[in-house]
This record gives sequence, structure tokens and C-alpha cells, in this order.
Amino acid sequence: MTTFVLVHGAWGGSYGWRSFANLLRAGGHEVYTPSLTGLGERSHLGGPNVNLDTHVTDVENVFEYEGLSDVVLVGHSYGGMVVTGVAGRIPQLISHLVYSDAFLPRDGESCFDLGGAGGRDKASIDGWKVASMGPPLQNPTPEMAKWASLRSPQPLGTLEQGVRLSVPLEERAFTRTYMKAIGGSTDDLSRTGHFWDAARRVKDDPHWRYYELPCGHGMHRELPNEVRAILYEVAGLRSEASVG
Amino acid sequence: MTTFVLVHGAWGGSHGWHKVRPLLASAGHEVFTPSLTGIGERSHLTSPQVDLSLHVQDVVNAIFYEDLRDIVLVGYSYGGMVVTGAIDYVAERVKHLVYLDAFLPNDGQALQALATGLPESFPGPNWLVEPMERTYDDPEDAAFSGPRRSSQPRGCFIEPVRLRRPLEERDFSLTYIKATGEPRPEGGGGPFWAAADRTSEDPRWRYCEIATNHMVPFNKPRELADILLEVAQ
Repeated sequence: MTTFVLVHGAWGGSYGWRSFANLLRAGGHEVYTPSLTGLGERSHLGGPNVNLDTHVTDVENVFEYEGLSDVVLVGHSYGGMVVTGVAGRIPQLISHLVYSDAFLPRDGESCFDLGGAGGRDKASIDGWKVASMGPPLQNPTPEMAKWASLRSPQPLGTLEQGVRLSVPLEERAFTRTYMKAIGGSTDDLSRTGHFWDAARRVKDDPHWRYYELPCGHGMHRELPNEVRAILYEVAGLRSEASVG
Repeated sequence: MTTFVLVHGAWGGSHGWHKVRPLLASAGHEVFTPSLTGIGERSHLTSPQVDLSLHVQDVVNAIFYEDLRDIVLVGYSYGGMVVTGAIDYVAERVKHLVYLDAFLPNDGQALQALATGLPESFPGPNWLVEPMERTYDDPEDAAFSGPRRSSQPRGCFIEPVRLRRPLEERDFSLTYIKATGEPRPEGGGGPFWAAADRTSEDPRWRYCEIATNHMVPFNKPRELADILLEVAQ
């Protein structure tokens, strides 16, 4: 049995991982999908004091309180900011660190620095709330429409605050993996934006494993079996029959 | 497949269910164990503003955001206050409501008013209330749980619960599980025995007992899971 901790993206929540988490659980694994403060089911806790440190602590505390170790830690999109901060604080509890079309900051960089929410200058900011971005959904499935309706404003401090990473990821004992979506947005097709920059940074670096999947940004929702296969390979697990 | 939502007690956290979760999950069920704001893994969010209403919203939001239905909703100890307060919002999503050695308040009652037999100073003048001493059958559970207990904001204990319709008038089933491993104290025995008295003779309630002390999810996870699975059937 392997322990997975899955960290969602900006404006999201635990709910975005539900079906993927159940896919992993069906393989006998333990899966935690904390909702970050101010978002999703925790949207009633949003405010001007919520920042990246808050989100890093949200996830760090799951490790500490549940007593987790040897964890496969996955960050999706903005969740890459969070898992980077977690990897800086409790590297000894992580065996595999995985970025899923995610921000890959260096020490001191904020999500805004990397162009998150369009960057500080283009983001739609109302007080402490940063509005959800992205093109309107074209022909959304009922499930996608439901998710869109659940998106909550992202607390400004989470995008403004730089991550603290005193030791580069590459010097840690855990393995590092980057999964890039290559079939979704116009950014994917033009190969621009931070996620492509991150992909180019790690692609030929022997410290990293690199995978591409022909889907959009929501990789675990679009290609759950393929994402699971990658996580299994990373964690050295025997593959299971695909579902669905 | 059944959906369980398990709500922990005072000074606790989601981790308090760590022995129960796998027993329900391995039977093919989905289990949610929201951590209440300000305690446990959410202790970094503590403040004097944390109260019962906030914890009710923690649970209601978990149910709405995950869009859970036909739930077995379980409140343990202080969690009985929280699930009672959640019912006005989620009654139609709940199929079975279970109190585990829990407070069973009526509309307008705060925990403080029910917690007879507790020290005079409870919950005391400060905004944080320190954890009560608890004992565990297994020293390993004591070593796991003890250091993870966090002080809890007083607002949780002094804010009255709102319950617009009595539980017995709702469509969901009702169960009370009493921990009976310790002899009933003189003079009534406190809020959980009072709740047991109220429910054990009432035909609208299913009443069960587990022979251990209050820390049922640590001491008797298998017995507890078996009762919950039976309730769900």
C-alpha cells in the first residue's frame, strides 16, 4: 500500500480529485486530498490573511497529524507552488514528488512571478479575491459545468507570496517527476507559458522524470488511467487494469 | 456503496478516525472525515472567532462541495453538536444520523449547558479551552493521539445550536451508540448517559452499546465499523 497526497489547483478544491482518488483507493492505496484554506469546501475561510504559507501548512499538517511518511506528493497547477513549499519543510516524509501541469517555482518565486492568474498586472483582483481565469468552457459536460460553478476566488496572498525553498529540489532524496499536458489550451499548442517553461527546464535533466500526455490541463480528470499509470511507474508499483 | 461522513470530537481531528476509515473503505464505501477549523490538522487556523457555527459550515460545505447524498452522518462526542447544527442544511442528503457517545442537544442548547459534571471552570474565562485528559486501551494509541490534541476555541462550547425541527420528525434513521466500558457515575452520569437514557427507550431510535471508554474510535474500531455498516444496510 502506498500513500498519496494530492494537492488541487487555484480556485479549486478537494472535489476535483474525488474520482481520481477513488481510482487509486480501488488499488488499495491511502489517498488524502486536503482542500486549501479559502477554497472549495474551505471557501468560508478565505480572507486577506490567507497566503502561500497557509496552504503549505494545510498540507504539512496532514502529514504531521495523520503520521504520513514515504508519500507520493502530487501538485496540480497552482498546487505545484504548495507542494514545493511542503518539500522544503518536510522533505524526509516524501519519497516521490510529482508536478501535474504545475507551477515549478524556485526559491522566492511567487505564482504571480511565474504568470499565474495572468500575472500580477493582468489578474482580476477585488480586495483579497483574485477571480477565476481561463476561457469559458466550450460544450462542457455536466460534470465540468458543475466544477466551474464551484470555483471560488483565490486569496491574493497565495499568489503574491514567494515560496521558501532553502535547498533546491534536485538535492533532495525524493524522486522528481513532471507531467505535461500537451493537447489542451492554445498555450499547450503554441508551447508557451510557465508550464512549458517548466517542462523545458526538467525535460533533459537527469534529476527529473518527464512525461507528456495528450490532454488538457485537467490531466487526472481527462486521462485518469494514464495519470495513474505514471504515478504507479514513479512509485514502483505494479500496474493495474484500466477502469472506465 | 455508501457515503460516510464522520465528524470528530473536541480537541481532535480527522486523524482520530484513522483506524475506522480503512475498515469502512475496504468494505467498498466512501469515507469523508472533515477536520474542524482551529483544531487537529487545522490548528493553524485557530482564533477567537472559531465557534460552533463555523464547524457546522465546515461540515455542510464538505457535503455540498463533494455533492454527497444518502449519507451516513456520524457525530462523535462534541461532533454531536456539529452534526445537529448541520441538519437544518443537509437533512435531505442524510439517510442515517448516528451519535457516537455524543452530545445530543435540543434547539437552543449549547454544549456548556449540557456538560453537567464537568469542572466549574469549564470552559473557563479564556478563548482557548485545554483538552480534557483521556485514557486509551493501547499505549500506542495514547502516544499517537495525546500529542495531537489541541486546545479548542471557547466559542464552540458556548454557542447554542440551531435545530428548526426535532430530529425525530425527519426522514432519516436515528442511532445512538453509548460507550459503556466505565461504570455509570453517581448522580446521572453526564451528558452522554442522559442522551442514552433519552434514546434507549424511544422506538424512533436505534440504541447500541460498545463496552469501552469514551475513546471508541481508537479502542474499538472494528466494533464501531460493524455497527456503522449495519446501520447503512
